[in-house]
Amino acid sequence: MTGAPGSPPKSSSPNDAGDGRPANSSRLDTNRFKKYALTAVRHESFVLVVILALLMVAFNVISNRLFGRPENLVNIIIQSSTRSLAAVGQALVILTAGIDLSVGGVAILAVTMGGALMTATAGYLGPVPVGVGVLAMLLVGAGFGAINGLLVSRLRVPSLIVTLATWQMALGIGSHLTAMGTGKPAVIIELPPVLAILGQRGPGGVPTPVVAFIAAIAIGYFILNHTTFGKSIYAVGDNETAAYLSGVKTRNIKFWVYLISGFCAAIAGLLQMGRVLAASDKLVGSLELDSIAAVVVGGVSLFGGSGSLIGVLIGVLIIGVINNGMNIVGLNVWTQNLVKGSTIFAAVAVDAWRRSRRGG
Amino acid sequence: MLESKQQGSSLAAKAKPSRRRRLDRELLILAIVLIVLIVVASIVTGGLFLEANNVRNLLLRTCIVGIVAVGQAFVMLSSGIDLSVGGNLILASCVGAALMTTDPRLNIAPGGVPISVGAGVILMILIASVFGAANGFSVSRLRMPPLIVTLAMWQITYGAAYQATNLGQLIANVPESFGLLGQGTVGVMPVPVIIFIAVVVVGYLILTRTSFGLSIYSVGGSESSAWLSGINIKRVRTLVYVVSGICVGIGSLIALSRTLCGSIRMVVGLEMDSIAAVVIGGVSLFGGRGNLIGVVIGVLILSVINNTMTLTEVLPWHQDIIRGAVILGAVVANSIRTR
Repeated sequence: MTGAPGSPPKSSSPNDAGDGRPANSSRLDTNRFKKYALTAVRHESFVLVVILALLMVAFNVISNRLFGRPENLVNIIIQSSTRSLAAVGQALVILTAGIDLSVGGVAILAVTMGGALMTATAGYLGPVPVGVGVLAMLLVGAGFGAINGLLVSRLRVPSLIVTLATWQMALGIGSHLTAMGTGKPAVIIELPPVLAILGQRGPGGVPTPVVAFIAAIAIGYFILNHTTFGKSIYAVGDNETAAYLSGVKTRNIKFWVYLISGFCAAIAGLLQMGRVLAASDKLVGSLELDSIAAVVVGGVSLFGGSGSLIGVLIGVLIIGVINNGMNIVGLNVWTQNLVKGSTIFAAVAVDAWRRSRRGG
Repeated sequence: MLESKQQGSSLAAKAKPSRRRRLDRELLILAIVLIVLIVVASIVTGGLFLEANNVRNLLLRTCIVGIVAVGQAFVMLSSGIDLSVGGNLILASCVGAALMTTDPRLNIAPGGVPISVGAGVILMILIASVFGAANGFSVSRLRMPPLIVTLAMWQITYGAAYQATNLGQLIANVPESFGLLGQGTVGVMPVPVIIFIAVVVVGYLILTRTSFGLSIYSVGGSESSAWLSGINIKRVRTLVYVVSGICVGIGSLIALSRTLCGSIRMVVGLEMDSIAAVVIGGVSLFGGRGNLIGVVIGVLILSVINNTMTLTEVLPWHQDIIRGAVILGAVVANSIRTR
């Protein structure tokens, strides 16, 4: 079930290149192409790919081809990398029929903590090595995720309220950390230049955010489709009682998805921090909304148990294209909010309609 | 059918005393917490808290959150949630201000003629209820999750308010007579406080004395048994969001008439505060349990904490941490109690 249309048929041709029987191999190719094309069209995410393509064409026309320039397309992927990281964690949580509203706050806490630790100006610890700072950022993300996970899985508190409360607390601690030097929340600059690797350049000229984007989706896809843990996530989201009765440790599964989500949020913050080489409590705005939007637009059901990471990948790209396109066309922030709100609304309505048609 | 109904009512009668006693005990604990907090607040602020001016201020601030929390309680008792209250309130007040203002540049009424105050009041409540009805329709008929519906509705209403205020401008010059709702007094009682009490009393009567109120509890308690006993679940689920919308509309009247100036920054974090108040007041997050007296005490507890933090000049971001911790503590206590 490879969802990417177009690329697969090429893979068989190099072997046949020097064989001297071009006619036969090309027939094989067309047969295969048909098969792949059919698989692609029947894939549940095909509609999303079409929507993505239509959006891109529309923005390109409206913006007089400013949108379609290669550097802008790369830019969209770089801008989307932060969101994709958060969305992968969010997708795992939503697949268990939960929700994590704390990702934005946790990302900000990770960023400000990293900033306060790695520079001399803001912190009282003095500058620590970059490695230690990054490690602390990842740990604080995972730690907040673990708190969410414990409260949701052990005490059975609804995820919505828990993560709303931890979001506010993380945000407050984040502001506190940037305010330690000056007395009011400030932007921490003079971060170690090494961090630029994380956000701007990368190995072999490929920007690190692009690598992180692909890696996050790939790892998430592998976990969900090829591990017991992944299958258990679907089982818990689909029917928790049934999963429990068939021996799935439902409480542990729920704990770990929140921990992973917090960890992903911290990495998202790290990428963002590397891109702008600054830390502030306003660095990642509304990451929770954007990540939920991407997951929901990508076809993951909010009732848990159904959806794929291929869909999430396309959902992230759709939100990225909408954000970038609206900026290029020149819509103001609030109109953008209106458009994004309506997009989420439409996506959820479609999901609800599909569920009712299935009789679920 | 008749037989089972009788059986049900006799069972309810048997269960009544113990349940009532437990509720009373919970309310007593909440009341004690409130009194302790008031004592602590008076000591910490060196008596500043108890000054007439401050008490008045505190009550006025409580009113808006309190009225919205009553609507929120209706929704949460049916096991839903309404995150759109903040955006909805801002939209209703901004559109109201933009229709009533005498400033010709910002007036959006047809022909630029400001509408009368009475029409404005009715329209504001109507706007908020229509958006509440839209929430209710999406949740009950389209079977969409309330969280996302109301989150999206928050963004939609906020964006619409931005358009209504001509891209985020302040809309002043609202007629003075409109200010009566938020600034007037009857004897010593400020009008908003009277409105708040009225909303609570009406809400309490609806919840305890009408079949609609009782069906909210049964839908929140167990949807399938409510369905089996013939309750129109979709109607109940729609109406609770309409009630929340009406409360938001009444709240928007007070908010606008206090400042006589429409702004898209009219209220901040109203959804958080109203949910927190309802949760602190002992309404179960899974629906079906809790009452409005608890919610009123919850609102007061929250106001006392907020007011004390302002008086003692706790930094805003430290207030965030404390508020988050209070909510977290309340939900943990709530879920341990319901187990």
